[in-house]
Amino acid sequence: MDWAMIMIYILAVIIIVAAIFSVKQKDLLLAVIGTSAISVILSIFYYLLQAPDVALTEAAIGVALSTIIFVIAIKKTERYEE
Amino acid sequence: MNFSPVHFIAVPLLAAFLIPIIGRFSKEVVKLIPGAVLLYLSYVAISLYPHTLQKPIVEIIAGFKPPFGITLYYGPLAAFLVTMIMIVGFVIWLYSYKFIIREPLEKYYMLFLLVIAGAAGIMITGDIFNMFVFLEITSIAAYSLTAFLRDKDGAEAAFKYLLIGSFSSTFYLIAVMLIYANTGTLNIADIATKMQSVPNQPKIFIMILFMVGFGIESELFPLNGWAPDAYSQAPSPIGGVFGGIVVKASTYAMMRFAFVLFDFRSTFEFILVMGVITMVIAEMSAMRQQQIKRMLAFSSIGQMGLVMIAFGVGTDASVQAALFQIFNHAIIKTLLFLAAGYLVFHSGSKKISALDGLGHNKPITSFFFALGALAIIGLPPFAGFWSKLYILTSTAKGGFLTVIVLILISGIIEAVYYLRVVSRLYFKKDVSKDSVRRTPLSGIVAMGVLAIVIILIGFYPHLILEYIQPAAHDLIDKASYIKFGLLN
Amino acid sequence: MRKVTAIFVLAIFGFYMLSVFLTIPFGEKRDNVGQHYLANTVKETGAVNTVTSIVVSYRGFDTLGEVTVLFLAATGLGAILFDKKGKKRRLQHASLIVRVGAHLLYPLIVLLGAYVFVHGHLTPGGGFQGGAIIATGVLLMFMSYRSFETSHKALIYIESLAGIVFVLAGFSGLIWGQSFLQNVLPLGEPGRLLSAGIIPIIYIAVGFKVGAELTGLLDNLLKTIK
Repeated sequence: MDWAMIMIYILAVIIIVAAIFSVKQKDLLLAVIGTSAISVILSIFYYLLQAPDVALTEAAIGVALSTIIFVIAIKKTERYEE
Repeated sequence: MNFSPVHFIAVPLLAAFLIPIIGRFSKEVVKLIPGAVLLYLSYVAISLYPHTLQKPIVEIIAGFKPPFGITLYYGPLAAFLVTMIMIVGFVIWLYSYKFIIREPLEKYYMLFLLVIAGAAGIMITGDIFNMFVFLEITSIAAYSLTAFLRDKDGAEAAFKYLLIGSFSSTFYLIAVMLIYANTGTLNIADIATKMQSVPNQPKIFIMILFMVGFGIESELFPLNGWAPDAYSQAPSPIGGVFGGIVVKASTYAMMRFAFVLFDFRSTFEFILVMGVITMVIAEMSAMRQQQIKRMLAFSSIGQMGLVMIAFGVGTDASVQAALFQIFNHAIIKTLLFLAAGYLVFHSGSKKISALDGLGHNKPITSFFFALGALAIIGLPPFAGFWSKLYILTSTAKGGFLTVIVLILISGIIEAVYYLRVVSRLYFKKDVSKDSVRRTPLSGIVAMGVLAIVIILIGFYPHLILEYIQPAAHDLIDKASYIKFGLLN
Repeated sequence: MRKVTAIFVLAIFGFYMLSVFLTIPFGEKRDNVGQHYLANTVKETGAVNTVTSIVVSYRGFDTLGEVTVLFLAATGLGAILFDKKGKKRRLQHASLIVRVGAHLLYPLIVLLGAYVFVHGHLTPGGGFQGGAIIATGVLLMFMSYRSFETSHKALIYIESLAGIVFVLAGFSGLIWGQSFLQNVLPLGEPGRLLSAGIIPIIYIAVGFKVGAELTGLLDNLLKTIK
């Protein structure tokens, strides 16, 4: 088993952990940060699958812009769920 | 430069990009731009019609032949539907010219142009991913227009529509991915030739995804939960746009895929059954409504269920009846929404009980509403009678007798709730406190044009039938679609 | 009880979907339209980056549609969050480190974004990526300085003019060629900056448009916070 496959498995585990964390978290701000962590790791995956264009797009839009729009929405409503 | 089908999409886009710049100089010119664009496009549609009756116009985009490039397939069916939506769109623009007074005006006209351009794009494209792009354009413009009045109910209705509509787009995109993975091409005609070699298990899953994806937009049961809220909270002309233009585009897409890609018998039976359920449940729900625009929304869902029944029978005559019903429904339902818009405006409330006696106070608007109500029930000599008659006869020839009974029962329920409103308009005391404001001339002209078309088609239905026959043959004939679509 | 049924239904749907997706051989060379694009991209369009040539040239019509979708999203947001009295941003000044760092990074980020969309046909990237990078740089400045303003008028002009350039490039294909969006400029030598016909022109227009649009969208949103 070469290093690339080990890294891919570790990243896959981190993505699933981050997704479960985002869903179960009551503080919405931390949940949004979890979502942006998923976008970062997804962008690495796209690069490993030899699609640099998609990786650039996911990094620019998913990590920065999507997160800030959610944060603004949280600021105008409530920070804690229930 | 002579006319070609790409104008239906490129010209509204150009106008929509120009509106913000012109809006900085003059607001009155901005209000006139969509009217000019729709008038030009109606002229293009009418002048291209004779060519399509001889041979469908297939236009290549970007100079690459299919299946490597995108093509636009403008046959008799596309010509029929596009001409219809351009003319209906022009009439709705005329009505909105004086009806919409709420800021920001220029954004309303931009979104209005783009929702019509998106619907036209769905009807003329010959490429599966291109249809996804136009579905997105139509959907996002529709979400923004639903929330245009910026009140609490409007925001909730738009949010519901957005959430459910996102499912529609996502399912459709997954279906496109699976089709590309299994057949290797994105051109609809090319996929039709390769569809035989796809194994059954992915094929059924793809069909389910398509039906759910477009079923959400065409308001089939049980995917139409968003529709009554969206129709009633949007501004009234936009209710006409949804019911007369957007839902027709998605019904066209569903039927085109059903006839060209998935033509097994069970697809049509499924559509027939879902149409029956949709119609029955929608008509029964409409009877219990207290607000007029919600009642019209449920009635619209029920009529589209009737169209699905006619498509589901699948014979040549029933497809012609379905297309006739689509045409009638677009015109009549738009007239009803436009008339209801001014009735709500004058009475000050959306409830049906507030409309008592408006027939004496505002005779012209009430007359148009009554005309639309009688036409949609199916009374002669109005246009709705002929299309219902054709649907009933073709369903009878197909042998589905229980379906006929259900259609007749729903017709009776429909007559009950529409005539209830008409009788309140004319035979009750006037409770409105408003006798000063009058309906503007642009609204009256818009509704008058639609009313004249209804009466004309009611007396001379063969005027439309000679255009419906080639359109129906275009839909059913899979072999000629493939032949022309691949430019053989 | 509801959660259990929801998880059950999702599990069934997920299992069905997985079984359908597993029938597709992934990673092999298959006979589809993509192979033709990969083989012929330099010859037919002159762009070295295949993704760019597919996005702008073979399927340029879809890109026009996507640019319109972005335009619609920004317009819809502007229509819903419309407010007659213009507001100012009320966020607080960030700390000293963030302010100085933003001041240094902002021109570099904008330069990177411009590089990405100008060289769209040669290196990975393109109009959408470049525009998003520029918008991220402007966002950094918005977050750091309360007084950083972008001219509303300039953004509207850039957005509309860039969109008009795209549609007119398409019409130029109709007038001087045979079809909408056809390449009517000479293809040039692959690998140089001035090659690939109208692809750099379209991508530069798209880069400006996306950057201006996302900046306007963020400005609109940030102004609504009290």
